[in-house]
Amino acid sequence: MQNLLARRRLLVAACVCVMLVAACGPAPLGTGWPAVSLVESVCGEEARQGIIVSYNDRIVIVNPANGQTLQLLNQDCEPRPPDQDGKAKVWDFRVTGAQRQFFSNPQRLDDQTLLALSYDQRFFHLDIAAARSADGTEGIPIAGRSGHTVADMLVTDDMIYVGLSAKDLVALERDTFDVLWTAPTAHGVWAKPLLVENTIYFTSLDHFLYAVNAESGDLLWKLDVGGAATSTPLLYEDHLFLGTFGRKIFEITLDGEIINEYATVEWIWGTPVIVDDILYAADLGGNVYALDTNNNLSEIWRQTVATRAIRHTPLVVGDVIIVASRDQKIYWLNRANGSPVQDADGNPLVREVGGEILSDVMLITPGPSVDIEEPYVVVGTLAPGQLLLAYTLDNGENKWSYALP
Amino acid sequence: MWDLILNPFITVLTLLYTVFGNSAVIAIILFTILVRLIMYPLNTQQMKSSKAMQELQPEIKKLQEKYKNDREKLSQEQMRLYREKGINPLGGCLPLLIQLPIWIGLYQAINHALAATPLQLIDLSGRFMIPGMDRLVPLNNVWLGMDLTQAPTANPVYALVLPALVLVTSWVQSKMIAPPPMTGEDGAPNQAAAMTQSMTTIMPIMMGMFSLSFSVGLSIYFVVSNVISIVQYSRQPNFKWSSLWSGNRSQTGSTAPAAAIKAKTLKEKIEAEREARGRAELPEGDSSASTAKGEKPNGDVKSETPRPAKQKAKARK
Repeated sequence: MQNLLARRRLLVAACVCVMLVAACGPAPLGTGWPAVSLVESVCGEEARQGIIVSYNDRIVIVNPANGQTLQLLNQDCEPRPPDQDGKAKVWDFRVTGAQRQFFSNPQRLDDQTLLALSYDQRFFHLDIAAARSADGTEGIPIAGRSGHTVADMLVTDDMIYVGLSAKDLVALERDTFDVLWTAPTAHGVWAKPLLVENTIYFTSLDHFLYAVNAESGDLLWKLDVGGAATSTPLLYEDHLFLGTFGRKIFEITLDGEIINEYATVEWIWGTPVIVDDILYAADLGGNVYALDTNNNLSEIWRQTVATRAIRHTPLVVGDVIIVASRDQKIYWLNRANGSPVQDADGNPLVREVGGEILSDVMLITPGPSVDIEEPYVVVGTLAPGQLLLAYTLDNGENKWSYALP
Repeated sequence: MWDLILNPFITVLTLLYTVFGNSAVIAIILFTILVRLIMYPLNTQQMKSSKAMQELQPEIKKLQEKYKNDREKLSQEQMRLYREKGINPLGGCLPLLIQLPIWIGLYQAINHALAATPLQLIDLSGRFMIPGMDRLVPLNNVWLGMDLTQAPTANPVYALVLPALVLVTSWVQSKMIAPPPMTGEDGAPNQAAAMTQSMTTIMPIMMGMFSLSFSVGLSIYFVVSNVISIVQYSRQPNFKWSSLWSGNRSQTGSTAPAAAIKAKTLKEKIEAEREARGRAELPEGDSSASTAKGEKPNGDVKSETPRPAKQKAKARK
């Protein structure tokens, strides 16, 4: 009996330990999601398009035609010979020896160089041809700053603008990374700034939309939008459009005056998109909206599409809207009314994947630099085994999936 | 399922934040106290059960020695003993199992509400049970110049005080919770006791190390939670602060009290053991009721604790 009790106690203690370890990890919910964007590289006279993915400890470029990691080319634009283990040399960048994470999109500096910014605020110059960093494992820190960055940076001809997770937007000299000015905020800046002429517009979790002079950082105005904002404002016909955690979508003049607003069901995370004067947005409750920008943001239609959050900007192509959700599904909707597109069998065109989808949904179209026959829709998931998936735009046929090596 | 615990917790935490001047630290402290108060009856029951089990250990040990060749009889006798003392041997586990999801919920609520990462922030949506509360997001996470969502190492140097406090309070708490070290007949701690003792040292160090990478907000939660536990345990009858540093909480399997272990000479030790046996001897037969102090056991039950042969020989001399 005593042994039995001792065993049971041991079992309970083990369960407690396992539960505590599982529940009390430093980042139990993870950090971010794969950042995906398109990048084009040129070898000789041939251009190649690739999908650049930044996620956790690596940045990779994937061939959109086949879902394979892009092979590195030599000077003759032929695939480089494999390494000593017989493995093909591919575009796979990792900082070895230091724990760096990447959740934002690298930005192009010139034909040969990408600039990546790690979660812990280190810059890395990446050679596009060689997938190597010129800045070692430590990268280049932002002087006088520590903490994290989740927002994409904005790179111009002479400056780099970076939103910091804790607070503030900083402007750096592009070549030296010297901090030129800081625009103070009360909370974090989690979205890429928008440059319009000589003004930087950016949102903050502190509930404000800011407009600052791009060169000096002087505050031009700030506007309380009633809730945290995590998206880049959309510029459309000299107005800014913005969704917030205050469950509102705003239309704002470039002088900081709200002229229209629309109440949503849940928080808006992503930037809206406007096509033919109709604004499309999705919220974290799985709702998709179509609003008339010519009629005071009046509702054209609203559909509850997904059971969980839709974070990204809806992808609008022709008569179709495509959204993807944390419920691990991709939905094809009719642009006219938000109803599901029917497949050949008359069923809603929905595709289920192996992980939550929080990344932006991309459209890859055939062209000289992309060897595909029809447009693909590419989504990134949180499942390492299906980090990227490509579907045909027309009928949702799965063309490939990319797993982390 | 977790949402049933997490959503109300996050709502209450945010409500406290609003009521108490938008201070996340005060909200965390009050919320931790509130949850611990709610769990107070369960915690008390667990402590009582655990204490009763500890007090029964000498008698259990005796039974084990007595029936070491008859496991079935041993089980019966142990169950009889538990029944007569009114103890449920698993009574300490149930409250623990009930409290565990609440602790985890508390921890997760603080983590969610502070929302340090994009995934945590996105996961906060739809969790508030009172309309309009989501306009408070994100909570003001700066306290005394420290970012509550960041680890102490990413904060000003003085933030390292918090991991130190976590370590110290964890150590005090674990020393208070740890049962008195059981010793074998030779006075040396038995294997289980040694393991328990090393855990009381290792766990606080681990907690202190974890706190270096956890957010400052969670360190505050750990400290408050530990302090509450310390206060709660210190209110137990017979608790003495001095027992944290001295070895007089130990007891042997043969029911000898601390005096026997602390005895410097073998003679003193034997004397002390004899005295202890006289006080705490089990009665014979099926009865496990306490005997009067100094009363000799009778019948055919071997009442003497077996001792090593060398020790017995020396005692005869």
